[in-house]
Amino acid sequence: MVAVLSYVACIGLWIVNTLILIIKKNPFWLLLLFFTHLFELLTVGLKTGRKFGEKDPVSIASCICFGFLWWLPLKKQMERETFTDDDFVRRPDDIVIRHD
Amino acid sequence: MGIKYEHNAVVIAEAPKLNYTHNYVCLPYDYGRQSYEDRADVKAIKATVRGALDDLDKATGWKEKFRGQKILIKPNLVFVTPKTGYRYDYDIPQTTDPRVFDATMEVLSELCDDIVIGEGSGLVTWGYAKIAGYLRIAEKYGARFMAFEERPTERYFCPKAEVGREVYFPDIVGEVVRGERLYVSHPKTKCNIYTGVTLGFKNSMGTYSVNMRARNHTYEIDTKLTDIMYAFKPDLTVIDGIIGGEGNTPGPNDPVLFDRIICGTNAVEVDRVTTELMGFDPKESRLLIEADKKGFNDPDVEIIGEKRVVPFRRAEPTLLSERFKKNWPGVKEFVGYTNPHVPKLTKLDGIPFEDVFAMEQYDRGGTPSSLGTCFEVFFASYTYPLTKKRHLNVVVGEGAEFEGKKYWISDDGHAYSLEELKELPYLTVVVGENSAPAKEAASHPFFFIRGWGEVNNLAVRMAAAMMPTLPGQTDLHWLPWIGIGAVRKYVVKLARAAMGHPTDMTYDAFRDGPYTIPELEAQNLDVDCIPAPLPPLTLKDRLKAMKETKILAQFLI
Repeated sequence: MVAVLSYVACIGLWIVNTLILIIKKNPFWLLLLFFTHLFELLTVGLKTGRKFGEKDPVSIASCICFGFLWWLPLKKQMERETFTDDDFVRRPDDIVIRHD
Repeated sequence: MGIKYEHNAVVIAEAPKLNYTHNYVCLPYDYGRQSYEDRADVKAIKATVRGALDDLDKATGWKEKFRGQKILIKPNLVFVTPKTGYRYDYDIPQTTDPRVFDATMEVLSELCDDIVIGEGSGLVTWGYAKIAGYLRIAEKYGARFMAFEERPTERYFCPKAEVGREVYFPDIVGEVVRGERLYVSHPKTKCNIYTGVTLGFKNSMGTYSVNMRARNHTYEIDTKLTDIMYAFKPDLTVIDGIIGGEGNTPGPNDPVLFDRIICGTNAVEVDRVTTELMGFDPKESRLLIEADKKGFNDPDVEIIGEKRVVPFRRAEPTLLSERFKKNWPGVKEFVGYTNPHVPKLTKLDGIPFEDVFAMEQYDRGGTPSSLGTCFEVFFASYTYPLTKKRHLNVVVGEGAEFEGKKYWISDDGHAYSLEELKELPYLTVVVGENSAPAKEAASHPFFFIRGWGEVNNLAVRMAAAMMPTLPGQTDLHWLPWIGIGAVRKYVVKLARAAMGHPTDMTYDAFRDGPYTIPELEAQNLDVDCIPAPLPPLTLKDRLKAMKETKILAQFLI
């Protein structure tokens, strides 16, 4: 749910900044957003995308659009999916769910 | 058509008792790399699948029959729903575990070069295949992935079938029907709200062209599903039983640690064994009863392995159960049917609950199950706390006749006339094509919900009735793929229709019973299935096919 809202907020930010550019002829906020995402792409986004297995064009487009909202979940997913043998030992509290 | 085995066998292979709960819906990011191959669960699954298929080969010699053949392998992709889709903190086990599927593909790719992975989830198959990792599996083994709803449709006649005499399949399934390609069914061990369980041959529902699925999606569903076997039968069935799914599938279901792979050469027998292992009596399964009646079973089948039962929670295709009433105390159902299969209405008050229940269950393969699926989705939604006390009247059925007038009965045993239904407090929805006599009781024309088996249409309108409710799959990490998949499907279908190769038949699922086929000559009456090519489309036909292409559902704008 948080992911949904944050993506919607990010799209909203692009729209608002574009409107500011068009109406007030002020490119500052749009450029700030773009260069922030570009900085993220060059420092962490592209590296994360490659490690995750994404193609470079996908990483570039996604990171420029959504910035950390794109690369942070990938990083977290990779952390979640890095397992040791201990993670595969059957334990009594493994899922037993009953929505009776 | 297909392989004729001299001896059929079913193998039950136990998997080591490990924790298999990581990535049982979606492949991990490192699939295809050494780190994936080194995982303890992956190694155990691969060893179990290979062992099971080797044991089956010793008993039946299936490998030699498959060597060098073309193959269509069909997993079961329903809603591919990672954890964040619903308010539950676990993955929803509706889809064939991609780790198990990968293990099967490894074995098959050693025998055959031309493998097609095909599925028609009824929704956005390509998107789900992308999310679950099936596209990556196809790439790894040099196979092709085909979403059935994007393929041109072909028509066949099955003269011996009871209700599925005229059937439409995608062209790639047509190759199976004509005996040019072998078919491997690779479902998951799951309960199913429409049919009790969904296993080896029920998996074939997804092989129909989409609008074909809606035909006879009623009390006739078991007959219809077994009729498919006149067209083709699985040449090999591999059931993913590592983690099963219990409850109201295709609504969000609950995982069960089942720890095994079941495979065999006769799908009906594989399903019988698996049904038993899930704690259900195969003699009560209408699907299996129908299949036996038509002679698709094999009483001489050899069963290899231990029958260890793990009871699954039964699917409940009803709005009258204790569980449903506990979850949705404000939802009231009014049900009425008049036909020889349901109890006759003899009074207007004090009607026994058993009679009301029997009346509702008459249409088990249709409206009550589809409604049950919708409510299971709403129950699992993040918005459930906001909607659980919502009052809603649900009217189902054409009405039970009493002294020349129609009535719909509630679970308290009182029969309501149409006039009384119109006076009910709160919102009223009227569901199902056959419920048309009650459509005036709907609070708004939008809430008379037509169409058998048109679940998308039902789900959207029911969600409107239960606002504010959110469906699952609210994680935007995955949602774009579903969106892209939906647009892709729409564009492909439009393009194919424009080129004169429509992907679907005209939606016509408005009645029960067999759909008529032309008079056949004597030599054709004795065959199971014959091709019935469609005439070339005129420009007008193409435009009609394009107009009938809908992005989501037939009865929505």
